[in-house]
Amino acid sequence: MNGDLLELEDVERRFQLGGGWLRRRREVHAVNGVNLQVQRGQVLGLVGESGCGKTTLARIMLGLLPASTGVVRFDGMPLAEIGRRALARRMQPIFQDPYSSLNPRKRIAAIIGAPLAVHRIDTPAARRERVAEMMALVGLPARLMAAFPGQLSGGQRQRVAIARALVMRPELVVCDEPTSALDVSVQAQILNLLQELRQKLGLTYVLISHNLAVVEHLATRVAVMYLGRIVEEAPTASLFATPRHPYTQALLASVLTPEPGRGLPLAAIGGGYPNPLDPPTGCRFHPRCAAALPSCRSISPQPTWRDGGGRVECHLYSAPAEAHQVSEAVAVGS
Amino acid sequence: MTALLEIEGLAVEIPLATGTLHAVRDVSLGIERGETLCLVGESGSGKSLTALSIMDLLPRRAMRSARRLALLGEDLSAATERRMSELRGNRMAMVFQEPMTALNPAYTIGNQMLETIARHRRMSTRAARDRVVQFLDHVGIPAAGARLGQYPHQLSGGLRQRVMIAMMLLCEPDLLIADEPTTALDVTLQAQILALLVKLQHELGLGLLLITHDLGVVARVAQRVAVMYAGEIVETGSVERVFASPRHPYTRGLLACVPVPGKIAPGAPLGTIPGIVPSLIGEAAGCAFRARCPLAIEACAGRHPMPVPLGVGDSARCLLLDSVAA
Amino acid sequence: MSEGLAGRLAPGAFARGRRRIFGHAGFTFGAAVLAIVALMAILAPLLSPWDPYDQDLSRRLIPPIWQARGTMEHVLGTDGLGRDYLSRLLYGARISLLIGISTVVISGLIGSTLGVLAGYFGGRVDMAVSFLLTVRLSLPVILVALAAVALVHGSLVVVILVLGLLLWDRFLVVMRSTTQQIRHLDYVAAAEAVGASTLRILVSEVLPNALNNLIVVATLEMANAILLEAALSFLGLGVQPPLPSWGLMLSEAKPFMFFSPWLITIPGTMLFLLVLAINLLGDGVRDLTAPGGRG
Repeated sequence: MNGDLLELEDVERRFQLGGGWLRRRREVHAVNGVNLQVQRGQVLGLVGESGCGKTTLARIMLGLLPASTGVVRFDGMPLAEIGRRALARRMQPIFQDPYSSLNPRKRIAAIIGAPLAVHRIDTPAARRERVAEMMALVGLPARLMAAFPGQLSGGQRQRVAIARALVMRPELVVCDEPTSALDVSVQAQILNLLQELRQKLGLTYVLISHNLAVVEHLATRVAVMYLGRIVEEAPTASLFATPRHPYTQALLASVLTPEPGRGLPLAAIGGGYPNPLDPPTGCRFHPRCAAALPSCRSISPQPTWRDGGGRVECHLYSAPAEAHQVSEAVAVGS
Repeated sequence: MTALLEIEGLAVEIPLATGTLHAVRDVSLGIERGETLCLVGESGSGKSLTALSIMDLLPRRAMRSARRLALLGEDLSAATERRMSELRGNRMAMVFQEPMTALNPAYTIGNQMLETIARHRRMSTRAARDRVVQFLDHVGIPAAGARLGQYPHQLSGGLRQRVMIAMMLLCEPDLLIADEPTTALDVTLQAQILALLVKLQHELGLGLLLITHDLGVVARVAQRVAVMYAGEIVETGSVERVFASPRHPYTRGLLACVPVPGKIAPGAPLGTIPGIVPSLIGEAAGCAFRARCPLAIEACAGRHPMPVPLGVGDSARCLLLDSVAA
Repeated sequence: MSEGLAGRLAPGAFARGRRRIFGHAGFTFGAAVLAIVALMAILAPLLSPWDPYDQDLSRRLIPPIWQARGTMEHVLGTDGLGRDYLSRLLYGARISLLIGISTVVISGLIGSTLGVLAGYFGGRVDMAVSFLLTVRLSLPVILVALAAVALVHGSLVVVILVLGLLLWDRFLVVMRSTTQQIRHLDYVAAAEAVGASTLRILVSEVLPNALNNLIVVATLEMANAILLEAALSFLGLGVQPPLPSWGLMLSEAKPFMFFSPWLITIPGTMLFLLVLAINLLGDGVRDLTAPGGRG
């Protein structure tokens, strides 16, 4: 537990839907008991498809959304005790959409300098210098200081977002799909920049992405999320070499690498993504799992250790009594 | 046998307050029956406009011109709006990126699909209904009969996309254009939808023009690829050849940008293409890529490179083609 | 940034700005007319040849100068009580603009504040504000004006208060939905993550981006207020005689409508032009101040 820069313990987040005077409220468990640890200097990749709750989790990590239950600790202290302003100096976000993450009415210098102004760091003159320094660091020409976001390209805007996030020299940066909205060539530039800055400034990242190739490239550890729970978590090389959870296997198999002649992966995963309002019983993945056991329908699996130093939540690996079925099921699932 | 789709010298110009935007410049391509051609490029490359100009669905201000634009030998550039209306949905169809905006949220699925049939075929309502259910079933939608009465918002993204595909194939067209059909979908769905498209293509023998920015999709689905940059096709050829030995510097740069698990050491910098896409407003001299090209020479600024043939159906636009090692 | 050909062909920023503004026909027309009316109002004491309240029954109903019996002394003629019409028109501009601006300021402050708060905080705040809105929408403005006049005699101040306290509904609705849309944008989340206070976020991030819509509604409401005042005064519920409100001038012209039509057409035309100008100006300002966008 020590040395963890960010720690999530049994974090849950419930949303009420369809409220009002007369209608019955329904509850969605967007995040359903998440345990995560991020160590200093690491890059934790969080992957999952839409509806898995990763964006909600990101907001909870940042303190923008309170958890319904559970604790989020930054450097050992619960977020509530640190306070929003103090937290802001140590943890910052980078969002997905470069078009909506910058205020179109503000100039670039004002956008990047805003955190400094809010926290009244330095004198205005010194702030200007820091802004110029940041712009150079992220590769933006100085002449753009007086420009408006509308005059910049997507890649340039994302650089502005990065500069803004780093201007107060935080320790942890939560990147929510930082390159998904960018072109491939620009994506590579931004990813390289993120990598370079991490080394230069000694940063820790939480990288949320649906693009597994990007995650494999940048992350040191990967956590796979499904319907509000972490179903598998391991060091990157381990996870990609030997994915244990059937969902992780299906996810990795679905990635279309630019290698001609390999054709399309066979559909290893049936059905559609379940409705979060009406999740399956037992293991939430069982309706789509090719290796589902009878117990999967009724009992939720608990996390168990997996090789390589991680964990996986799956009956295939947890119940010793059904160990003889494991090898068959694993063969079927891969 | 007549080629399914022949395009030669297609250009799309859009007049703006600041000048004329040459969004598509001198695009030539061809598709045969049963073939999948991927048109790949980044934003601003003109790939979507190319697709829209085939269907004549360009915005009103846009001006299209082409030396040749023919579907199964029929000249489309001279076709009247009436004729185009007959062809759309019937002989050629288009699947879009966002199924929610492509399907009208105010009408049921059944309503919209029956409307498509009624537009192009004479059939009794009963027969039409049966055909619709048959197609919905064929694209893998469970409980197809019940879906007719459902509205688009009641279906998930993946199902909506399947509905759109079914709708477009109701009249068994010869050409299907799919503009980023899986970009808005999750990874696990993407493979399924693409597999569906490929399966249907084999069954119906149609030609598939697949537009995407995702090189993974290109590699796994297409036989041939055309790479677009700044409104032009800069390289075209078989997928194997282009991926194995790309001849145009842009194609090479693009391939180097994509992180492939296992190929690039984790943490090592990815290849990049520095700079940004040039403005397409006004006449351009020389090669559009020269500002970002690591191999650019002086001649690149003066002469506009024409496609250099590299083999049957293969070509690339680069002045350096002879000196660029395979 | 677009270097190269496009950069070389484009004129400098200042020239471009000027061309944009004056190229917008609606804006130019609206601004011009509004400027003229404003000048009329401000310079009324200097421009009016006569005292607008000065009655002279020996000079009743003299037609304007372009008709047969017109004279240079009374360029726009005189009304039923012998008052110079041009002078009344000029001073009337003051009333219309005063009403328009003060009503918009009062109702704008009320409606926008409520709307922004409801849109930003949602939940119970939104429910409370929506309730207030429903109550307001069930009140008919004319009847409330009637009631107000019954209690306190109609006057300029009463009109401004009644209109100001009643016409905030559109401000509320528009600002609420605008704020809701902005609320979910990433730059607001970024500001929160930076630790900015709610007030700072509202002032620095939300309001500047809601300004566009606010201006459009303000112009619509200003025009609306001016027309409503004219209607109220016409019905005798608004400004009281002898004030030269254009609406009142219309009302006083009723008995002479057929034989002295200019008594109606002149203030009527001015009202029409003013309202048209305000609307066009609002459209123009909205178009011209829209942020760059993804262009």
